[in-house]
Amino acid sequence: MNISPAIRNLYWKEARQLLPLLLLLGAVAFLLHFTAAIIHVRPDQAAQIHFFAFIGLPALYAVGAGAMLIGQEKEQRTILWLQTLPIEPRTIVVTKLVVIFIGLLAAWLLSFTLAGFYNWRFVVGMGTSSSSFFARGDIIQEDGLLLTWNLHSIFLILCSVWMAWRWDSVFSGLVALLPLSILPGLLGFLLTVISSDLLGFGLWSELYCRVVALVMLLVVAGVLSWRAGTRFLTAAPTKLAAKSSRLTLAANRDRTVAIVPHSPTAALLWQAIQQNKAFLIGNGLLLLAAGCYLIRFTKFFVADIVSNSRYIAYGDDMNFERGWLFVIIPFAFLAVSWLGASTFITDGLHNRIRFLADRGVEAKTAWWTRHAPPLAVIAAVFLATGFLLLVSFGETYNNSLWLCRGLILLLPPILMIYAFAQWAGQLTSSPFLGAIAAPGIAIAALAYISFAVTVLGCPIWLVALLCVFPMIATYLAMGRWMDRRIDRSLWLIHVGVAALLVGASFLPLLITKASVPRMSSKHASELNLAYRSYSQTTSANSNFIFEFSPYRIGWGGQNAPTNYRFTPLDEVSQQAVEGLKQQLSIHRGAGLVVAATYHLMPEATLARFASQASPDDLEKRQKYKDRMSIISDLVYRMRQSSRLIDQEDADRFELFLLYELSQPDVSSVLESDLHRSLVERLADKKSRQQARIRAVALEYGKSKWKIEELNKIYRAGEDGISWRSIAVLRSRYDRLYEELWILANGGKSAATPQRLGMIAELFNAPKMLYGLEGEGQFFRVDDIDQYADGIVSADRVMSGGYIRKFYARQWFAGWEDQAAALKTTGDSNE
Amino acid sequence: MSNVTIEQDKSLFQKPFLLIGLPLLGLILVIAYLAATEIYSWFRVAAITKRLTAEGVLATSEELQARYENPRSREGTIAWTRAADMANVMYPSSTFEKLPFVGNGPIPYDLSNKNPPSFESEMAAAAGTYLERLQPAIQAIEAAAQFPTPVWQPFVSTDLYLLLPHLQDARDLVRLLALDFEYAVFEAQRERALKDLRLIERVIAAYSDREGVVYSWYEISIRQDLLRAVNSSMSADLWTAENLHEILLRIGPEFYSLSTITNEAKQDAKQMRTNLEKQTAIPLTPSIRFAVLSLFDEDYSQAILNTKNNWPKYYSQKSEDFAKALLQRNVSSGEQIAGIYIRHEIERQLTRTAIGIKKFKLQEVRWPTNLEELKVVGLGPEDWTAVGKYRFGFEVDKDKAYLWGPDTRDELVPPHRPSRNSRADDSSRLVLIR
Repeated sequence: MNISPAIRNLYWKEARQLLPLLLLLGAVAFLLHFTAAIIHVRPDQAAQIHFFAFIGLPALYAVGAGAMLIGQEKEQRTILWLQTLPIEPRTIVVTKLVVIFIGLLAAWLLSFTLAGFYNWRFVVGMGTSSSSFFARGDIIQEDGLLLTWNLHSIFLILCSVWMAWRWDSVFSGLVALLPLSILPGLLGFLLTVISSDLLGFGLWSELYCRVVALVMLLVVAGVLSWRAGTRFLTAAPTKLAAKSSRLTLAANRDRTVAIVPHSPTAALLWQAIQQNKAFLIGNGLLLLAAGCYLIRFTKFFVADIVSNSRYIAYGDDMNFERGWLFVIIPFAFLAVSWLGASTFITDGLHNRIRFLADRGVEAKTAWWTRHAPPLAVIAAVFLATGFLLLVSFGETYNNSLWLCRGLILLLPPILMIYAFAQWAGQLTSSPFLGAIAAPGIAIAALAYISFAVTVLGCPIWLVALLCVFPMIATYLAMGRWMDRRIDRSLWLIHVGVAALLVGASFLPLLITKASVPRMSSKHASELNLAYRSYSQTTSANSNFIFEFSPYRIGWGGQNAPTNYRFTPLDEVSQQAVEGLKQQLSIHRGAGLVVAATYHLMPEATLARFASQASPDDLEKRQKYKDRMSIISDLVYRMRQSSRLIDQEDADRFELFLLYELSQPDVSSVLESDLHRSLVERLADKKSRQQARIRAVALEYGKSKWKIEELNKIYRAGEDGISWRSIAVLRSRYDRLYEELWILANGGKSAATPQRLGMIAELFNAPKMLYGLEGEGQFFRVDDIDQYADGIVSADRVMSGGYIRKFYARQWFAGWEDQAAALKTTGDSNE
Repeated sequence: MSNVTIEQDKSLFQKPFLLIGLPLLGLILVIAYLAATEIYSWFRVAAITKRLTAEGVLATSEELQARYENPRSREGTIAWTRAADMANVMYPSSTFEKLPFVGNGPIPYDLSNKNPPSFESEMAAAAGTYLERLQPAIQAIEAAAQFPTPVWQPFVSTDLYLLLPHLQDARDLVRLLALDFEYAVFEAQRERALKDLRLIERVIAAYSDREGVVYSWYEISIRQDLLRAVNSSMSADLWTAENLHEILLRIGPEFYSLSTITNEAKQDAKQMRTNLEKQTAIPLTPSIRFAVLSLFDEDYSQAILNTKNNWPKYYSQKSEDFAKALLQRNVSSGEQIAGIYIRHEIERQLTRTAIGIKKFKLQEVRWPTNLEELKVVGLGPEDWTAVGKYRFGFEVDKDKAYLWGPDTRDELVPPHRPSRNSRADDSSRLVLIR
């Protein structure tokens, strides 16, 4: 096919014209992907942001393409020049459509590239569910979303082209596009209802109906856009020129309406309203529609709260409502952004604002009279939504009052979007680019604000203050902007305010970092040195999990069948003990126990009772010896562990050993060799202290920069914590380990009530658990006979797992001396 | 331009101040009104909180701990802990409930069967071995039972949402004793069974903690274990008239009364402050706090009174009001509390009536023809009429008698004897008496 140089140039011109849109959308999508990657949200929420950035880029392109290639040309009147060229109108229409569709391919390519930048597997695997980063990718395949989304994008393109040919104002075309965009959904729903409910075609799936609806509408939109384009271009150029100028149009009429300003301010307000009338009404209605939908959605939410069940919230009805929410929220967002943008962008068109500047209108007056109309629209929509809310919840008046209060909570985010979107008005002189840039700037601002809150730890009051910054920027720059002095000073104002905004958001973090107390340098260097020294002799994954779980072997069990044959407890228990013995013989290194292994201790006590009741029964005696020996071995392995929780468990097991060995006649049951070895191990204070010192150093060294460790102790939240919270918690964590380090090294003399109290405080633990206040004597064991905190109760350990993480409760308490005294007594007896 | 006419446009667009000022002013007024109500609510919340705190209703974790500690004896603490430690060898309670030994088969089963199926005898033998091994634990309970009650247990109120380990211990102890009781009944060891009942009563006395609804619910669940054990023993030919009299005393007095419920409801409010602070679904503005507190403060007793009058419809009542729904999410409502107490009371009445029937049979050497005849053994309509409204069902079938109460699903007493398919299905509240 031969293409003439003129046509080739035309294609090139159209492509260049489309490029800024692709670049702008690419930048917004990049920012969204980047935000999703850095802000602290749950992985599935981050995946959702990535996913919507991925599919959102081509969709937004489809919305803007028509306005970019046609609307902007009409706005700048280059369309008139184009019409004078010796090119067939049909060729111009075809050229524009071809370039727009090539642009759609480019938009998808760009979106894939950006998504692939964050997860290359997504691009290769086309979003299979194995790609957790894009967990929502499976939707594409399951719901046929890729097909319908693309068909919908093509439909949007054709509609945007149609609207751009049809409407003189770019804004009006964009606003009119919004209701058109939901037509395929409505028609698809209608077809589903007709086919399944009325005609009974069971085979007509929902997806099939959606595709049929889209194809039907594509044909209609294609015909309409084609006809609108050719008609527009075949009209007489003079008529077109006249049509593109409102003043000329007005002059052609027989009547004009005179302005009757009561005052200069009133005149300015009147002018601001008239200039954006269609735009204000269009976006106001869109916002009101969103408000009305919000009321409908709220009814489901209230039903959920009131019924106190999750049934409604996750039923089919709610899914349907949620589906609509994904349509309504972007619409409302766009409406607010465009209301914000409307403040200045129409004034910037063809330097209209100069008219006011030349007549000595003050900058501040011009500034607030531009803001008042869109803000009044937002206020009116709020009042109307509130009124409708009161009316619709008439039966439960109290509820509607609560919801009205809730409605007010939506005002701050809306004003925030507005404040950032209005910035776009002064940053661009093209209404079309402003209309595209305003939502982009608002999205970027929302992303930054969420970064400031979740990552920097910015307090809410400061966020509210930050949102005033864009208003300050446009206010300060108003005079220069009105005079059209678009120079370095004007940009300095905007950049300066933006820099201040960013700087202010970092302030709380910097102040916190500078003010929190730190670990002393002496102890920090000691801990680091010890960590380096111990870590050389410890392999990273040397811990083995020793488990004693008779109930897992088959004694009872959750799913015991009705004809279940009872296995005697003794038999099952013995099997578990043998299993544990085998584990100990195979795995020679350090170990840890799970809470269920605590059951071994009451097992041992009962074995002692059984043996004492039948002193001549060697089998019973052996059972007791086995259990005591295994417990002692487990303690030995736990002491080798680098984890503090294992040291804590070892303390508990040793308390049990001490309790058992303190019982009368126990030495005769155990027989001298085993009794001696158990007592010797128990009396070894030095090894115990060394194990604690080593565990403190290794645990601190390993977890020094891990946020999960802070979360483990302080339960700061699953969704991640801000850098500011980390700074505070890090300080607490460091001081906690400093105290543990001093205690572990100092031994009994360091275990002062003050230090134990400080450790309790740094753990957020009740002081009673550390032997202080209240009934502390029952919790910190100075006398084994007074220990009442469930020496052997596994249920208690499992239900009190939280308490189990308060370390050093038993370090250097009186029980260690009692354990040492057992050896002394034994030695003197011998 | 000659055709241009100048005229004044009287449309609303010509009145910019009105067009813009009205909505802005309207919104400002609404916000001002809401802000004023929030400020007003803040002061009212402070006042109500101050008053309720002074009355001892709203308490913090520390106050809760103090209340728990003060009236309790420390003498038996160690002894009870040791007993609980050993009873804990039963392994997780979920396992215990699935065990297919005596008492866990279809109920009511025939304990007097001279030739029990081999499966049942095997279960009984296994339970016997198990109980023999756990006799030291039962002896430890006996030793602990000598100390004054209630007993201080090592319980730290670190978190109001935390499970209450000391009350879990009590359940382990009672389950062990209930199993021993059932086994003793199976083996016709009357004294052993009676001893178990006495010990269960001591466990309840030692651990009894009525510092809030959740705490009391533990006690109710323990008492339910006791009632079930006694009910199952009604089908055994074991008890003398004196034994039955003693058991009747051990069943205990009415656990439920309007004053009890009101008191429990007030106690429960101690958790409200913490619970409300912890819930994150709805932003807690002062006005919401005020609404919830006011509702709690003013409507609680009334709700409980309504509950009593409108039983058995309490369980279907759901509040349409947002603030009340929020209150119910964070604090047990009067209806919920009353519901649990009422259900327990029905079980208690049913057991008393079953004992009365058995007593009547021993005394009169025949089954009563109707429940009215139980007056001769000292029972009255208040025993066989569920919460004063629904008369229990009663039927004699040759050498067996059946007693049943309101079905737990609709709280209505079935006109005919309900069937029962499994132990898990205890909705019919059916008791077999032999």
